[in-house]
Amino acid sequence: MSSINRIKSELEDLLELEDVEAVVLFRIDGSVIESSFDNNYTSRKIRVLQWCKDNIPRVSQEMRGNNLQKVTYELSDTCILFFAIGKIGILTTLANNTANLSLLAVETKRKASIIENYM
Amino acid sequence: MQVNSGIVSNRSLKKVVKGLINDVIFEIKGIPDFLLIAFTSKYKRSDYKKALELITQETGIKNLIGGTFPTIGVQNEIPTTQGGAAFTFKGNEIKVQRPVIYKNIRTKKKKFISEFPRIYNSIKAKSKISFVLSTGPKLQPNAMEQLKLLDSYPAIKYQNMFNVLGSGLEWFLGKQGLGTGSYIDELLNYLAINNVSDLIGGATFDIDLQDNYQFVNNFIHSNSLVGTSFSSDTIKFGHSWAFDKSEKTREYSITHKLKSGYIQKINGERANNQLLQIMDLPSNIYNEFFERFSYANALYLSGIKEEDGDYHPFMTANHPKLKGVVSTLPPSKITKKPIKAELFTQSGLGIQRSAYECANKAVKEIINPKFGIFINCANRLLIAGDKIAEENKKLAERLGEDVPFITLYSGCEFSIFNKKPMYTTVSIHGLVAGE
Repeated sequence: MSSINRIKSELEDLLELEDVEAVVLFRIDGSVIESSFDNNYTSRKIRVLQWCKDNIPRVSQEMRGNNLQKVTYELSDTCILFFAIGKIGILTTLANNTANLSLLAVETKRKASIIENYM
Repeated sequence: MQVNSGIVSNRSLKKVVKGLINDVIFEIKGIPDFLLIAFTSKYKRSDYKKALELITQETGIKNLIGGTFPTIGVQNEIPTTQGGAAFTFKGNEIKVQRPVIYKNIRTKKKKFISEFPRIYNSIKAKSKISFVLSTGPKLQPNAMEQLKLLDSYPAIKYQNMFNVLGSGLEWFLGKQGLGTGSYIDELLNYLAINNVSDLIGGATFDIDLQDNYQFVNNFIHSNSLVGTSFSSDTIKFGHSWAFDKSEKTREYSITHKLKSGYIQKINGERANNQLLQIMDLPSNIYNEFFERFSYANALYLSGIKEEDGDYHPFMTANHPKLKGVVSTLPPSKITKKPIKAELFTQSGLGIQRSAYECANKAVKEIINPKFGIFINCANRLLIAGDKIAEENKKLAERLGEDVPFITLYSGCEFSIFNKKPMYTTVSIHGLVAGE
Protein backbone atom coordinates (compact mmCIF):
# COMPACT_ATOMS: atom_id res chain seq x y z
CA MET A 1 0.00 0.00 0.00
CA SER A 2 1.40 3.43 -0.95
CA SER A 3 1.98 6.09 1.69
CA ILE A 4 -0.92 8.21 0.47
CA ASN A 5 -3.29 5.23 0.69
CA ARG A 6 -2.07 4.51 4.20
CA ILE A 7 -2.68 8.13 5.15
CA LYS A 8 -6.15 7.95 3.59
CA SER A 9 -6.92 4.83 5.63
CA GLU A 10 -5.86 6.55 8.87
CA LEU A 11 -8.09 9.53 8.06
CA GLU A 12 -11.00 7.19 7.41
CA ASP A 13 -10.41 5.61 10.84
CA LEU A 14 -10.78 9.04 12.42
CA LEU A 15 -13.91 9.76 10.42
CA GLU A 16 -15.52 6.62 11.86
CA LEU A 17 -15.37 8.11 15.36
CA GLU A 18 -18.61 9.40 16.82
CA ASP A 19 -19.42 13.05 15.93
CA VAL A 20 -16.51 13.45 13.48
CA GLU A 21 -17.66 15.07 10.24
CA ALA A 22 -14.49 15.60 8.24
CA VAL A 23 -10.76 15.01 8.46
CA VAL A 24 -8.28 16.89 6.30
CA LEU A 25 -4.51 16.70 6.14
CA PHE A 26 -3.25 20.13 5.09
CA ARG A 27 0.19 21.29 4.16
CA ILE A 28 1.17 24.32 6.19
CA ASP A 29 0.58 26.55 3.13
CA GLY A 30 -3.10 25.51 3.09
CA SER A 31 -3.03 22.99 0.25
CA VAL A 32 -4.82 19.69 0.87
CA ILE A 33 -2.69 16.52 0.97
CA GLU A 34 -5.54 14.09 1.67
CA SER A 35 -9.05 14.25 3.13
CA SER A 36 -11.99 12.17 4.23
CA PHE A 37 -15.63 13.34 4.64
CA ASP A 38 -18.91 11.83 5.69
CA ASN A 39 -21.69 11.94 3.09
CA ASN A 40 -23.57 14.80 4.67
CA TYR A 41 -22.41 17.87 2.71
CA THR A 42 -23.99 20.81 4.47
CA SER A 43 -23.29 24.42 3.64
CA ARG A 44 -22.11 24.86 7.23
CA LYS A 45 -19.49 22.17 6.82
CA ILE A 46 -18.27 23.55 3.52
CA ARG A 47 -18.08 27.03 5.03
CA VAL A 48 -16.05 25.76 7.99
CA LEU A 49 -13.72 23.79 5.72
CA GLN A 50 -13.14 26.86 3.59
CA TRP A 51 -12.39 28.81 6.76
CA CYS A 52 -9.86 26.14 7.78
CA LYS A 53 -8.20 26.21 4.38
CA ASP A 54 -7.94 30.01 4.44
CA ASN A 55 -6.56 30.07 7.97
CA ILE A 56 -4.15 27.12 7.95
CA PRO A 57 -1.08 29.28 7.06
CA ARG A 58 -1.84 31.58 10.00
CA VAL A 59 -2.68 28.74 12.40
CA SER A 60 0.45 26.79 11.46
CA GLN A 61 2.58 29.91 11.89
CA GLU A 62 1.12 30.39 15.38
CA MET A 63 1.69 26.73 16.24
CA ARG A 64 5.29 26.72 15.08
CA GLY A 65 6.01 30.12 16.62
CA ASN A 66 4.71 29.08 20.02
CA ASN A 67 5.72 25.41 19.86
CA LEU A 68 2.10 24.24 20.05
CA GLN A 69 1.31 20.65 19.18
CA LYS A 70 -2.46 21.04 19.25
CA VAL A 71 -4.89 23.92 18.83
CA THR A 72 -8.64 23.60 19.37
CA TYR A 73 -11.30 25.99 18.06
CA GLU A 74 -14.76 25.66 19.51
CA LEU A 75 -17.25 27.45 17.27
CA SER A 76 -20.95 27.61 18.11
CA ASP A 77 -21.81 24.41 16.26
CA THR A 78 -18.45 22.90 15.32
CA CYS A 79 -15.21 21.92 17.01
CA ILE A 80 -11.95 21.95 15.08
CA LEU A 81 -8.79 20.23 16.23
CA PHE A 82 -5.49 21.14 14.56
CA PHE A 83 -2.59 18.76 15.24
CA ALA A 84 0.89 19.55 13.95
CA ILE A 85 2.51 16.73 11.97
CA GLY A 86 6.23 17.29 11.71
CA LYS A 87 7.18 20.57 10.08
CA ILE A 88 4.95 20.38 7.04
CA GLY A 89 1.53 19.01 7.95
CA ILE A 90 -1.53 19.96 9.96
CA LEU A 91 -4.07 17.24 10.70
CA THR A 92 -7.48 18.93 10.93
CA THR A 93 -10.48 17.19 12.48
CA LEU A 94 -13.97 18.70 12.29
CA ALA A 95 -16.55 17.44 14.74
CA ASN A 96 -19.97 18.60 15.78
CA ASN A 97 -20.30 20.45 19.07
CA THR A 98 -21.46 17.39 21.01
CA ALA A 99 -18.15 15.61 20.44
CA ASN A 100 -16.15 14.47 23.44
CA LEU A 101 -13.01 16.50 22.76
CA SER A 102 -10.91 14.65 25.32
CA LEU A 103 -11.43 11.29 23.65
CA LEU A 104 -11.18 12.78 20.18
CA ALA A 105 -7.85 14.38 21.06
CA VAL A 106 -6.44 11.02 22.20
CA GLU A 107 -7.17 9.34 18.87
CA THR A 108 -6.17 12.36 16.77
CA LYS A 109 -2.81 12.47 18.51
CA ARG A 110 -2.35 8.76 17.82
CA LYS A 111 -3.20 9.23 14.14
CA ALA A 112 -0.93 12.28 13.87
CA SER A 113 2.01 10.22 15.12
CA ILE A 114 1.22 7.38 12.67
CA ILE A 115 0.78 9.74 9.71
CA GLU A 116 4.06 11.47 10.54
CA ASN A 117 5.80 8.14 9.84
CA TYR A 118 4.21 7.97 6.38
CA MET A 119 5.26 11.48 5.36
CA MET B 1 8.45 -16.14 31.90
CA GLN B 2 7.16 -14.71 28.64
CA VAL B 3 4.98 -11.58 28.84
CA ASN B 4 3.74 -9.35 26.07
CA SER B 5 1.19 -6.62 25.50
CA GLY B 6 0.25 -4.38 22.61
CA ILE B 7 -2.34 -2.16 20.98
CA VAL B 8 -3.83 -2.13 17.51
CA SER B 9 -5.98 0.80 16.45
CA ASN B 10 -8.28 0.61 13.44
CA ARG B 11 -11.93 1.23 12.50
CA SER B 12 -12.21 -2.44 11.52
CA LEU B 13 -12.25 -4.84 14.47
CA LYS B 14 -11.20 -7.63 12.11
CA LYS B 15 -7.94 -5.80 11.38
CA VAL B 16 -7.47 -5.07 15.07
CA VAL B 17 -7.81 -8.75 15.94
CA LYS B 18 -5.44 -9.90 13.20
CA GLY B 19 -2.89 -7.37 14.40
CA LEU B 20 -3.22 -8.47 18.03
CA ILE B 21 -2.89 -12.15 17.13
CA ASN B 22 0.17 -11.67 14.92
CA ASP B 23 1.99 -8.91 16.77
CA VAL B 24 1.17 -9.64 20.40
CA ILE B 25 -0.13 -13.16 21.06
CA PHE B 26 2.05 -15.03 18.56
CA GLU B 27 5.12 -13.40 20.10
CA ILE B 28 4.58 -15.85 22.97
CA LYS B 29 5.98 -19.30 22.15
CA GLY B 30 3.28 -21.93 22.72
CA ILE B 31 -0.26 -21.42 24.01
CA PRO B 32 -0.35 -18.54 26.52
CA ASP B 33 -1.41 -19.31 30.10
CA PHE B 34 -3.44 -16.12 30.28
CA LEU B 35 -4.83 -13.65 27.79
CA LEU B 36 -6.57 -10.39 28.62
CA ILE B 37 -8.41 -8.91 25.64
CA ALA B 38 -9.86 -5.41 25.76
CA PHE B 39 -11.71 -3.70 22.93
CA THR B 40 -12.99 -0.15 22.74
CA SER B 41 -16.71 0.06 23.21
CA LYS B 42 -18.12 1.33 19.90
CA TYR B 43 -17.98 -1.80 17.76
CA LYS B 44 -20.97 -4.10 17.22
CA ARG B 45 -21.66 -7.05 19.53
CA SER B 46 -21.52 -9.43 16.56
CA ASP B 47 -18.04 -8.11 15.69
CA TYR B 48 -16.80 -8.82 19.23
CA LYS B 49 -18.19 -12.34 18.98
CA LYS B 50 -16.37 -12.99 15.70
CA ALA B 51 -13.21 -11.48 17.14
CA LEU B 52 -13.23 -13.77 20.17
CA GLU B 53 -13.93 -16.82 18.02
CA LEU B 54 -10.98 -15.98 15.79
CA ILE B 55 -8.64 -15.41 18.73
CA THR B 56 -9.56 -18.66 20.51
CA GLN B 57 -9.35 -20.66 17.25
CA GLU B 58 -6.01 -19.23 16.17
CA THR B 59 -4.30 -19.32 19.55
CA GLY B 60 -5.87 -22.29 21.33
CA ILE B 61 -6.14 -20.17 24.48
CA LYS B 62 -8.29 -21.53 27.33
CA ASN B 63 -7.83 -18.71 29.84
CA LEU B 64 -9.12 -15.61 28.08
CA ILE B 65 -10.99 -12.90 29.89
CA GLY B 66 -11.70 -9.37 28.81
CA GLY B 67 -14.25 -6.73 28.05
CA THR B 68 -15.04 -3.39 26.46
CA PHE B 69 -13.70 -0.03 27.65
CA PRO B 70 -13.70 3.51 26.21
CA THR B 71 -9.91 3.55 26.02
CA ILE B 72 -7.09 1.10 26.56
CA GLY B 73 -3.41 1.79 27.09
CA VAL B 74 -0.21 -0.24 27.17
CA GLN B 75 3.43 0.67 27.79
CA ASN B 76 5.21 2.88 25.24
CA GLU B 77 2.13 3.61 23.10
CA ILE B 78 -0.55 6.28 22.89
CA PRO B 79 -3.77 4.75 24.29
CA THR B 80 -6.44 3.89 21.74
CA THR B 81 -10.08 4.94 21.66
CA GLN B 82 -10.71 2.93 18.49
CA GLY B 83 -9.21 -0.53 18.61
CA GLY B 84 -8.07 -3.12 21.07
CA ALA B 85 -5.27 -4.36 23.24
CA ALA B 86 -3.98 -7.72 24.35
CA PHE B 87 -1.98 -8.60 27.43
CA THR B 88 -0.67 -12.14 27.72
CA PHE B 89 1.80 -14.29 29.62
CA LYS B 90 3.12 -17.85 29.81
CA GLY B 91 5.34 -19.47 32.39
CA ASN B 92 5.49 -22.01 35.19
CA GLU B 93 5.89 -19.29 37.79
CA ILE B 94 2.22 -18.27 37.82
CA LYS B 95 -0.78 -20.58 37.97
CA VAL B 96 -3.94 -19.21 36.41
CA GLN B 97 -7.34 -20.45 37.59
CA ARG B 98 -9.90 -21.42 34.96
CA PRO B 99 -11.93 -18.27 34.22
CA VAL B 100 -15.40 -18.11 35.77
CA ILE B 101 -18.50 -16.21 34.73
CA TYR B 102 -21.53 -15.11 36.74
CA LYS B 103 -24.44 -13.94 34.60
CA ASN B 104 -26.98 -11.29 35.65
CA ILE B 105 -24.63 -10.32 38.45
CA ARG B 106 -26.68 -7.27 39.49
CA THR B 107 -29.61 -9.44 40.53
CA LYS B 108 -28.14 -12.94 40.99
CA LYS B 109 -25.36 -12.51 43.51
CA LYS B 110 -25.81 -15.65 45.63
CA LYS B 111 -23.88 -18.03 43.38
CA PHE B 112 -20.95 -15.64 43.08
CA ILE B 113 -20.86 -14.92 46.80
CA SER B 114 -20.80 -18.61 47.74
CA GLU B 115 -18.67 -20.01 44.93
CA PHE B 116 -15.98 -17.41 44.31
CA PRO B 117 -14.54 -17.38 47.87
CA ARG B 118 -14.51 -21.20 47.87
CA ILE B 119 -12.42 -21.26 44.69
CA TYR B 120 -10.12 -18.52 46.02
CA ASN B 121 -9.63 -20.19 49.38
CA SER B 122 -8.86 -23.56 47.78
CA ILE B 123 -5.74 -22.09 46.14
CA LYS B 124 -2.66 -23.01 48.14
CA ALA B 125 0.23 -20.73 47.27
CA LYS B 126 2.48 -18.16 48.94
CA SER B 127 0.96 -15.34 46.95
CA LYS B 128 -2.41 -15.08 45.24
CA ILE B 129 -4.79 -12.47 43.89
CA SER B 130 -8.07 -12.50 41.98
CA PHE B 131 -8.69 -10.41 38.90
CA VAL B 132 -12.28 -9.65 37.88
CA LEU B 133 -14.13 -7.55 35.33
CA SER B 134 -17.76 -6.73 35.96
CA THR B 135 -20.48 -4.90 34.11
CA GLY B 136 -20.29 -1.15 34.65
CA PRO B 137 -22.74 1.75 34.61
CA LYS B 138 -25.41 1.52 31.92
CA LEU B 139 -28.32 3.92 32.08
CA GLN B 140 -31.33 4.97 30.02
CA PRO B 141 -30.64 8.23 28.15
CA ASN B 142 -32.87 10.31 30.45
CA ALA B 143 -32.16 8.33 33.62
CA MET B 144 -30.86 11.32 35.59
CA GLU B 145 -33.93 13.44 34.89
CA GLN B 146 -36.10 10.63 36.28
CA LEU B 147 -34.44 11.11 39.65
CA LYS B 148 -36.47 14.31 40.17
CA LEU B 149 -38.78 12.32 42.43
CA LEU B 150 -35.92 12.01 44.93
CA ASP B 151 -35.98 15.80 45.41
CA SER B 152 -39.57 15.69 46.67
CA TYR B 153 -40.50 16.43 50.27
CA PRO B 154 -41.58 12.80 51.04
CA ALA B 155 -38.26 11.47 49.69
CA ILE B 156 -36.37 13.72 52.09
CA LYS B 157 -38.70 13.15 55.02
CA TYR B 158 -39.11 9.36 54.67
CA GLN B 159 -35.63 8.27 53.63
CA ASN B 160 -35.94 4.69 54.93
CA MET B 161 -39.02 4.08 52.82
CA PHE B 162 -37.36 5.55 49.73
CA ASN B 163 -34.26 3.43 50.36
CA VAL B 164 -36.48 0.32 50.23
CA LEU B 165 -38.22 1.61 47.11
CA GLY B 166 -34.84 2.49 45.64
CA SER B 167 -33.42 -1.00 46.12
CA GLY B 168 -36.58 -2.44 44.53
CA LEU B 169 -36.15 -0.14 41.55
CA GLU B 170 -32.46 -0.99 41.37
CA TRP B 171 -33.34 -4.70 41.23
CA PHE B 172 -35.96 -4.08 38.52
CA LEU B 173 -33.49 -2.06 36.42
CA GLY B 174 -30.76 -4.60 37.13
CA LYS B 175 -32.91 -7.31 35.55
CA GLN B 176 -32.75 -5.26 32.36
CA GLY B 177 -28.99 -4.82 32.66
CA LEU B 178 -29.32 -1.20 33.75
CA GLY B 179 -27.82 0.52 36.76
CA THR B 180 -24.66 1.97 38.23
CA GLY B 181 -21.65 0.06 39.49
CA SER B 182 -22.56 0.36 43.16
CA TYR B 183 -23.68 -3.31 43.41
CA ILE B 184 -19.96 -4.16 43.33
CA ASP B 185 -19.53 -2.53 46.75
CA GLU B 186 -21.85 -5.16 48.26
CA LEU B 187 -20.06 -8.00 46.45
CA LEU B 188 -16.65 -6.86 47.71
CA ASN B 189 -17.87 -6.70 51.28
CA TYR B 190 -19.17 -10.29 51.06
CA LEU B 191 -15.91 -11.52 49.53
CA ALA B 192 -13.81 -9.82 52.21
CA ILE B 193 -15.92 -11.35 54.99
CA ASN B 194 -15.39 -14.73 53.33
CA ASN B 195 -11.60 -14.46 53.42
CA VAL B 196 -10.89 -13.28 49.90
CA SER B 197 -7.90 -11.24 50.97
CA ASP B 198 -6.67 -9.77 47.68
CA LEU B 199 -8.53 -8.85 44.52
CA ILE B 200 -8.30 -6.24 41.79
CA GLY B 201 -10.99 -5.42 39.28
CA GLY B 202 -12.70 -2.93 37.06
CA ALA B 203 -16.03 -2.30 35.41
CA THR B 204 -16.47 -2.65 31.67
CA PHE B 205 -17.82 0.64 30.40
CA ASP B 206 -19.07 2.79 27.57
CA ILE B 207 -18.48 6.51 27.95
CA ASP B 208 -22.07 7.23 26.82
CA LEU B 209 -23.37 4.84 29.52
CA GLN B 210 -24.63 2.38 26.93
CA ASP B 211 -23.81 -1.32 26.26
CA ASN B 212 -20.67 -2.77 27.75
CA TYR B 213 -19.53 -6.39 27.44
CA GLN B 214 -17.52 -9.01 29.27
CA PHE B 215 -15.58 -11.85 27.63
CA VAL B 216 -14.64 -15.37 28.65
CA ASN B 217 -12.85 -17.41 25.98
CA ASN B 218 -15.12 -17.18 22.90
CA PHE B 219 -18.22 -16.14 24.85
CA ILE B 220 -19.50 -12.58 25.06
CA HIS B 221 -21.83 -11.43 27.83
CA SER B 222 -23.44 -8.28 29.08
CA ASN B 223 -24.56 -7.70 32.68
CA SER B 224 -22.06 -10.28 33.96
CA LEU B 225 -18.93 -10.68 36.02
CA VAL B 226 -15.91 -12.59 34.75
CA GLY B 227 -12.82 -13.43 36.73
CA THR B 228 -9.82 -15.56 37.46
CA SER B 229 -7.10 -15.84 40.09
CA PHE B 230 -3.32 -15.81 39.81
CA SER B 231 -1.18 -17.70 42.31
CA SER B 232 2.51 -18.35 42.73
CA ASP B 233 5.17 -19.54 45.16
CA THR B 234 7.92 -17.52 43.50
CA ILE B 235 6.19 -14.39 42.16
CA LYS B 236 4.81 -11.69 44.44
CA PHE B 237 1.69 -9.71 43.60
CA GLY B 238 2.05 -6.08 44.67
CA HIS B 239 -1.24 -4.26 44.78
CA SER B 240 -2.21 -0.66 45.42
CA TRP B 241 -4.35 2.33 44.48
CA ALA B 242 -4.20 6.13 44.45
CA PHE B 243 -6.18 9.17 43.41
CA ASP B 244 -5.41 12.81 42.71
CA LYS B 245 -5.71 14.45 46.12
CA SER B 246 -3.04 17.06 45.69
CA GLU B 247 -5.17 20.20 46.16
CA LYS B 248 -7.68 20.02 48.97
CA THR B 249 -10.05 22.98 48.87
CA ARG B 250 -13.07 22.91 51.17
CA GLU B 251 -15.02 20.67 53.48
CA TYR B 252 -18.74 20.05 53.46
CA SER B 253 -21.29 17.89 55.24
CA ILE B 254 -23.69 15.53 53.44
CA THR B 255 -26.74 15.85 55.66
CA HIS B 256 -29.51 14.19 53.58
CA LYS B 257 -28.77 11.24 51.30
CA LEU B 258 -30.17 7.96 50.04
CA LYS B 259 -28.51 4.52 49.87
CA SER B 260 -28.35 4.81 46.10
CA GLY B 261 -25.77 7.59 46.53
CA TYR B 262 -28.21 10.37 45.69
CA ILE B 263 -27.33 13.41 47.82
CA GLN B 264 -30.40 15.49 48.61
CA LYS B 265 -28.88 18.12 50.91
CA ILE B 266 -25.45 19.45 51.70
CA ASN B 267 -24.97 21.53 54.85
CA GLY B 268 -28.75 21.34 55.28
CA GLU B 269 -29.41 23.07 51.94
CA ARG B 270 -30.36 21.66 48.51
CA ALA B 271 -27.24 19.83 47.35
CA ASN B 272 -27.00 21.03 43.74
CA ASN B 273 -26.83 24.74 44.58
CA GLN B 274 -24.71 24.16 47.67
CA LEU B 275 -22.06 22.17 45.83
CA LEU B 276 -21.89 24.77 43.05
CA GLN B 277 -21.45 27.46 45.71
CA ILE B 278 -18.72 25.46 47.43
CA MET B 279 -16.98 25.04 44.07
CA ASP B 280 -17.59 28.72 43.35
CA LEU B 281 -18.97 27.87 39.90
CA PRO B 282 -22.07 29.53 38.37
CA SER B 283 -24.56 26.91 37.16
CA ASN B 284 -24.56 28.13 33.54
CA ILE B 285 -20.79 27.69 33.24
CA TYR B 286 -20.92 24.28 34.94
CA ASN B 287 -23.71 23.11 32.63
CA GLU B 288 -22.01 24.35 29.47
CA PHE B 289 -18.70 22.75 30.38
CA PHE B 290 -19.88 19.41 31.78
CA GLU B 291 -22.91 18.61 29.63
CA ARG B 292 -20.60 16.55 27.42
CA PHE B 293 -19.61 14.43 30.42
CA SER B 294 -23.24 13.65 31.43
CA TYR B 295 -22.80 16.50 33.95
CA ALA B 296 -20.15 14.54 35.86
CA ASN B 297 -17.79 16.90 37.61
CA ALA B 298 -14.40 16.57 35.97
CA LEU B 299 -12.84 19.51 37.83
CA TYR B 300 -13.35 18.39 41.40
CA LEU B 301 -13.69 15.11 43.23
CA SER B 302 -14.88 14.53 46.78
CA GLY B 303 -13.40 12.29 49.43
CA ILE B 304 -14.53 10.90 52.77
CA LYS B 305 -11.79 10.76 55.35
CA GLU B 306 -11.76 7.31 56.96
CA GLU B 307 -10.70 6.28 60.44
CA ASP B 308 -7.30 5.06 59.24
CA GLY B 309 -6.61 8.49 57.72
CA ASP B 310 -7.11 7.28 54.15
CA TYR B 311 -9.60 9.02 51.86
CA HIS B 312 -12.39 7.33 49.96
CA PRO B 313 -12.92 9.30 46.71
CA PHE B 314 -16.24 9.65 44.92
CA MET B 315 -17.54 11.55 41.95
CA THR B 316 -20.53 13.89 41.79
CA ALA B 317 -22.78 15.03 38.94
CA ASN B 318 -24.85 18.22 39.08
CA HIS B 319 -27.69 17.75 36.60
CA PRO B 320 -29.51 21.05 35.88
CA LYS B 321 -32.96 19.41 36.26
CA LEU B 322 -32.20 18.11 39.75
CA LYS B 323 -32.05 19.84 43.11
CA GLY B 324 -29.85 17.10 44.50
CA VAL B 325 -26.54 15.67 43.33
CA VAL B 326 -25.90 12.23 41.84
CA SER B 327 -22.83 10.64 43.42
CA THR B 328 -20.81 7.44 43.33
CA LEU B 329 -20.72 7.16 47.13
CA PRO B 330 -20.53 3.44 47.93
CA PRO B 331 -23.64 2.15 49.75
CA SER B 332 -21.48 0.75 52.57
CA LYS B 333 -20.24 4.28 53.38
CA ILE B 334 -23.75 5.74 53.61
CA THR B 335 -24.76 5.90 57.24
CA LYS B 336 -27.58 7.72 59.01
CA LYS B 337 -25.20 10.30 60.44
CA PRO B 338 -24.09 13.27 58.34
CA ILE B 339 -21.03 12.42 56.25
CA LYS B 340 -18.09 14.82 56.27
CA ALA B 341 -16.58 15.17 52.82
CA GLU B 342 -13.69 17.14 51.41
CA LEU B 343 -13.37 18.62 47.96
CA PHE B 344 -10.21 18.17 45.88
CA THR B 345 -9.27 19.71 42.58
CA GLN B 346 -8.23 17.43 39.75
CA SER B 347 -5.57 18.27 37.21
CA GLY B 348 -3.57 16.63 34.44
CA LEU B 349 -0.38 16.78 36.51
CA GLY B 350 -2.15 15.48 39.61
CA ILE B 351 -3.34 12.50 37.61
CA GLN B 352 0.19 11.74 36.49
CA ARG B 353 1.47 12.05 40.05
CA SER B 354 -1.19 9.70 41.42
CA ALA B 355 -0.46 7.13 38.68
CA TYR B 356 3.18 7.15 39.75
CA GLU B 357 2.12 6.88 43.40
CA CYS B 358 -0.04 3.83 42.61
CA ALA B 359 2.79 2.07 40.73
CA ASN B 360 5.28 3.05 43.42
CA LYS B 361 3.21 1.56 46.22
CA ALA B 362 2.39 -1.60 44.21
CA VAL B 363 6.04 -2.25 43.38
CA LYS B 364 7.32 -1.52 46.90
CA GLU B 365 8.20 -5.10 47.81
CA ILE B 366 9.16 -6.18 44.32
CA ILE B 367 12.73 -5.91 43.02
CA ASN B 368 12.18 -7.28 39.55
CA PRO B 369 8.73 -6.41 38.10
CA LYS B 370 7.48 -8.77 35.38
CA PHE B 371 4.19 -7.11 34.43
CA GLY B 372 1.43 -4.76 35.54
CA ILE B 373 -2.34 -4.53 35.19
CA PHE B 374 -3.87 -1.13 35.93
CA ILE B 375 -7.52 -0.18 36.23
CA ASN B 376 -7.92 3.54 35.71
CA CYS B 377 -11.05 5.67 35.89
CA ALA B 378 -12.48 6.88 32.57
CA ASN B 379 -13.17 10.22 34.27
CA ARG B 380 -9.42 10.71 34.72
CA LEU B 381 -9.07 10.01 31.01
CA LEU B 382 -11.49 12.84 30.21
CA ILE B 383 -9.44 15.23 32.32
CA ALA B 384 -6.13 14.22 30.79
CA GLY B 385 -7.35 14.03 27.17
CA ASP B 386 -4.46 13.60 24.75
CA LYS B 387 -1.99 13.97 27.64
CA ILE B 388 -3.12 10.54 28.86
CA ALA B 389 0.00 8.98 27.34
CA GLU B 390 2.02 10.94 29.92
CA GLU B 391 0.26 9.05 32.69
CA ASN B 392 1.34 5.72 31.22
CA LYS B 393 4.89 7.07 30.93
CA LYS B 394 4.82 7.60 34.69
CA LEU B 395 3.81 3.97 35.19
CA ALA B 396 6.61 2.83 32.87
CA GLU B 397 9.06 5.08 34.70
CA ARG B 398 8.37 3.27 37.97
CA LEU B 399 7.97 -0.27 36.61
CA GLY B 400 10.86 -0.14 34.16
CA GLU B 401 10.77 0.86 30.52
CA ASP B 402 10.58 -2.69 29.18
CA VAL B 403 8.04 -4.09 31.64
CA PRO B 404 4.76 -4.87 29.81
CA PHE B 405 1.56 -3.55 31.31
CA ILE B 406 -2.00 -2.78 30.31
CA THR B 407 -4.28 0.04 31.50
CA LEU B 408 -8.05 -0.36 31.27
CA TYR B 409 -10.08 2.86 31.56
CA SER B 410 -13.08 1.64 33.49
CA GLY B 411 -16.48 2.67 34.86
CA CYS B 412 -15.29 2.10 38.44
CA GLU B 413 -12.26 0.54 40.05
CA PHE B 414 -12.19 -1.84 42.97
CA SER B 415 -9.91 -3.94 45.08
CA ILE B 416 -9.68 -5.93 48.25
CA PHE B 417 -6.47 -5.08 50.09
CA ASN B 418 -5.73 -7.62 52.80
CA LYS B 419 -9.49 -8.15 53.38
CA LYS B 420 -10.28 -4.42 53.17
CA PRO B 421 -12.76 -3.78 50.32
CA MET B 422 -12.26 -0.62 48.30
CA TYR B 423 -14.85 0.38 45.69
CA THR B 424 -13.91 3.73 44.18
CA THR B 425 -14.19 6.02 41.20
CA VAL B 426 -11.82 8.75 39.90
CA SER B 427 -8.87 6.61 40.98
CA ILE B 428 -6.29 4.17 39.67
CA HIS B 429 -5.80 0.65 41.02
CA GLY B 430 -2.76 -1.39 40.07
CA LEU B 431 -1.39 -4.90 40.25
CA VAL B 432 2.33 -5.51 39.72
CA ALA B 433 3.73 -9.03 39.57
CA GLY B 434 7.41 -9.70 40.09
CA GLU B 435 10.17 -11.24 42.15
